[in-house]
Amino acid sequence: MNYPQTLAPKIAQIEQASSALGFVASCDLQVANFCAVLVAGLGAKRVLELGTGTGLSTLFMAEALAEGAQLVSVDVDADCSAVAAQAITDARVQFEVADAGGFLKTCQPNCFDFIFADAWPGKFSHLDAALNALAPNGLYVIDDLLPQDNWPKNHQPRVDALLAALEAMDGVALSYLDWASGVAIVTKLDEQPIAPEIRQHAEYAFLFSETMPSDI
Amino acid sequence: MFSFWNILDWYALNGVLLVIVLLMLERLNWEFEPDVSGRASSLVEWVKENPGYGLLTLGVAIIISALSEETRVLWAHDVVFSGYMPNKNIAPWTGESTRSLGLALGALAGVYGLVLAGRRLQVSQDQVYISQKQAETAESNLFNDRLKSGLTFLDNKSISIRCAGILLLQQYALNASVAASEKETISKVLVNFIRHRADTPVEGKRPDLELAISALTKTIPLEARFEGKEELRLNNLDLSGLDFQKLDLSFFNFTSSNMKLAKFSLSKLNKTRFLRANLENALFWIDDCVETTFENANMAGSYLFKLKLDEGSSLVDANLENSNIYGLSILGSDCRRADFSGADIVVKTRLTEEVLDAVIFEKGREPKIEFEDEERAEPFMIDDQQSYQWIDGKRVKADGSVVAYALGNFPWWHEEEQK
Repeated sequence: MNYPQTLAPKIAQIEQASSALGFVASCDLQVANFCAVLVAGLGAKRVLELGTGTGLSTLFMAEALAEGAQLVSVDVDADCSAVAAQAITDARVQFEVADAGGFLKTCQPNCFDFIFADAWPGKFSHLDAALNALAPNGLYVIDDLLPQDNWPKNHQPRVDALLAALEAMDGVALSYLDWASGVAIVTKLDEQPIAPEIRQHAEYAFLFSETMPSDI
Repeated sequence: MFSFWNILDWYALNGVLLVIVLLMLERLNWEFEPDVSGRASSLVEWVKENPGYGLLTLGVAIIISALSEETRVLWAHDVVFSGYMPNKNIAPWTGESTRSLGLALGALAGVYGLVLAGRRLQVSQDQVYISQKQAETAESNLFNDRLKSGLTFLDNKSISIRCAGILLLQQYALNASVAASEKETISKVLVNFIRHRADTPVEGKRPDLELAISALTKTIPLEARFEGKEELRLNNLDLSGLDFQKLDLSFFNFTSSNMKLAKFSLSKLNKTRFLRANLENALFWIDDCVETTFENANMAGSYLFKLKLDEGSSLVDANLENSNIYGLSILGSDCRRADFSGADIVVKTRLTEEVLDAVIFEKGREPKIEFEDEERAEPFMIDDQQSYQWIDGKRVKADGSVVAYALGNFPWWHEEEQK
């Protein structure tokens, strides 16, 4: 289970390619390792990653996949995805170059056991679609909830609203890790976890929108 | 009329038939056990398992018996052995026994049908039972696997793996179909982990410890909590600096734990016990505190913002020196000998004179009270009689009485703090 060590050559390859590409938003290695252990421990059969980036976290989760499991990784950036696809040649991993929000809308309900949200959609928009795609008792991991250099302006209120909304949902259990890049872990308890009053709450409305703010 | 001998003859014949049947059964029995006592039980078992054969044997016995009944007259007149038909008026054949035979065979067939149906039902019940057992075994295996991997992960040096282990156990326990006993096992594992990690010196944050306590609050539902429950005892632990925000810590017992600099924002602390706990510089912000016990707790320098301590909470002998109190509501709490020396009590705090009459402070360090009660025309004043002075390590009031030291029985953390 020592993924950072066993994957060191691949990690170096991805980091080098990311650097050449000028991509600086790679997932924290500790968080990638954390997700991989969860995927392995759950024995997740269907895994979704929102925001491939250059594939660092994808690499970890692919290594942890059970036999017969499948990982779908979505990113809107074709260049980044290409770096990931070059490093990860596992047939169980499927790369989708698409908008994560649009992809989520096409997902069947309850079709993933584990979702790693490392993109805007699924965190600060399309939250209902993301939770809908998650199977009951599945895990939904949201990254980058602690202040980052690449955060947009006035982002903290959005993070606070996301956590407050998840906290207010009866159909999920929220755990928060004030560690690494800041991780929230949601366990889906009910098939329909979002009560109408949360969806209609003015402060949370943006979480369920299907558009991204103009400043992102 | 038949003679006694006729009747004896008939019974003898049936006796012979019975012996034949028994011999048949015995022949079958012989196949199983050479031991006589064992044969009987084996036979019973075999008949139970093969009721069709048992019923067939019974059917043969009935048929033979009926035939013997049918020929009873011939037997009775010794026709069978002598071949001589007496010239007597013998009873005509009525066919009664044949009808009886038919009825007996019909009944037998009915019974056999019932037995077959019963066996089929038994088979399907067995299949359901086996399926249930297989499902239970699969669940049990899943639990054992999850528990095993969880324990392995919890023991790992890497914090990311420990955190993942905690979440995997929590995720399993949150499944509605999981048995209460399994949830309890997971809670115990988490408590042991918390105890172990709390005793392990670590510099900086301890997110795994926070996550484990958070998981514990989720795996023990409120309705399953009662005072004294073992899994809620987090006493005598170093939990300093931990963030407990938004956790439901109701009924938890933190007696004598070191919780210096802990954060309790928006937490539920109903019936939580902080007896002799070190809550120095801890932050309490809009927490629910019904019947919360802070007796003998060291709350020096703590921040108490918008706390509701109205309903039966206790601050008896608590040390609230230099605490910052804003919006505290302590109308119904017990504040006897609570030390408010140098405390800063500001606006919107709801308390009564009875509460203030019970508190104490060091002479010259009166609590700064800057608040107005909407229902009072005059501001609150604390009587100087409630002040004390330190004399030979004792708190002596103006009237000469000694106030029992708030932390007279220092818990373990006091020595640690003194170092």
